[in-house]
Amino acid sequence: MRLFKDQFLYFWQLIKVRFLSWLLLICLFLLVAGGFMRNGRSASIMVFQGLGLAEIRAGIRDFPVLWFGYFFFPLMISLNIFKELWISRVMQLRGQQIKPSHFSWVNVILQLLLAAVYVLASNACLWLKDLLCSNSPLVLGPWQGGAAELHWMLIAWLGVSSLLLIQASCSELTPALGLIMPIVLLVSTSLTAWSGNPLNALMFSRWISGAELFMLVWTLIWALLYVLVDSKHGWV
Amino acid sequence: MFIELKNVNKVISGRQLLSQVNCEIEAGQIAVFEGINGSGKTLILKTILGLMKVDGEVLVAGKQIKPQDAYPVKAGILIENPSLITDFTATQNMELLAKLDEHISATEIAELLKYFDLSRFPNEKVKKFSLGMKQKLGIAEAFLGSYPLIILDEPTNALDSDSIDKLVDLIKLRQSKGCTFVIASHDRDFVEQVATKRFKVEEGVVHEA
Repeated sequence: MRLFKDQFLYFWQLIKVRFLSWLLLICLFLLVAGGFMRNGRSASIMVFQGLGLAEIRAGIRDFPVLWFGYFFFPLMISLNIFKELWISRVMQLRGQQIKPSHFSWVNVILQLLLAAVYVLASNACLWLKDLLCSNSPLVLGPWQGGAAELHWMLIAWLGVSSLLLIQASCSELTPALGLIMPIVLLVSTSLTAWSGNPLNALMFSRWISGAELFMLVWTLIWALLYVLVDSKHGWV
Repeated sequence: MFIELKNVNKVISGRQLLSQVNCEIEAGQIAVFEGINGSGKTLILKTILGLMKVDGEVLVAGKQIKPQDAYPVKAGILIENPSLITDFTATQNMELLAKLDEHISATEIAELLKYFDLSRFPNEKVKKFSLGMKQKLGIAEAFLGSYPLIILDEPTNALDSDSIDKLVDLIKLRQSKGCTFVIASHDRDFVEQVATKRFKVEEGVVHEA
């Protein structure tokens, strides 16, 4: 807990301007873009509907720009932050006999936290839009209204978290790869119809029951991979 | 021997940054690595901390240093820029570091801040500090906790002569209590005053002076 508080304060110092700017931008973007949803359906559909596997197989190639933007923005907030954090903290943490793996685990928690704040704030804008425009409630499988929104928020949180973890893991090799890799995954998810792709769960049109469990396992795997890669790179 | 470097080599992009470095530092010594900018002094400090991947052997307190392991002893460290939260005051920064070690008391923090003349600015945020004040705060943080090892990289940078005198006195006081110092510096006057063991660093080659 002490290490978390220490690391969080340094993390916040490094990220606050970027975080607040991008968060404000996505919120404004969602509120404005939500205005184009004039058929009374939930604003979440506009962002997360995506392109179904059947449509892809039928040769439709409409790129889901809003969906891509939603999952791309957190990558711009994070960028190479955890490498910067390590460089700024390594001396004192080394002197305090703290292992690099402990630092890495705290980074995982910080990424989950960053994803949670992002998803909460952005989805709150979508709810607000629904409320103001008296849109019909979101329906997701057996869930409806608030339950569906909460359920979807959990999936989006796992999705954003996993993308941040992929970015941080690949950044260990080169910072550019950290940004390229999740973009490649998002674009290929949008344009290909592989039913085993875990990121399918991030589109309403591809959502299946149990997708959240699949997302959870996928995120956990990336958390473990990140800690493994990051704690091996103890040097500066 | 407290610190040993045996046949340490470091090559980056075909350039030999450290060449067959062998040195031994006993507990309680003030070892100073001298050399011009870019000679490899900071690299040696990072090697002693296990933060550089090198060929050869680095031992601290009898243990081989590996980057992924915890460091064998507690150490106060100032290398390159001090790691500070600029929206915090000097005291808040010290308290934050102290939270990582329950043995550090508020009295010790207050004494160090007073010693380095930083207690005159109790409510001033670090972002308003001059370069010298930030450096003094970084040094004060390195002395926090009375650890057996203190590593300082160019500690006299941006310090006025009074502050350098205070630093020299504190280093000698801590050494008399058994603390080992490893310092990199190009400040000859300072080195003359504190060093009990001197190493010359020239293009990655280390000679005992």
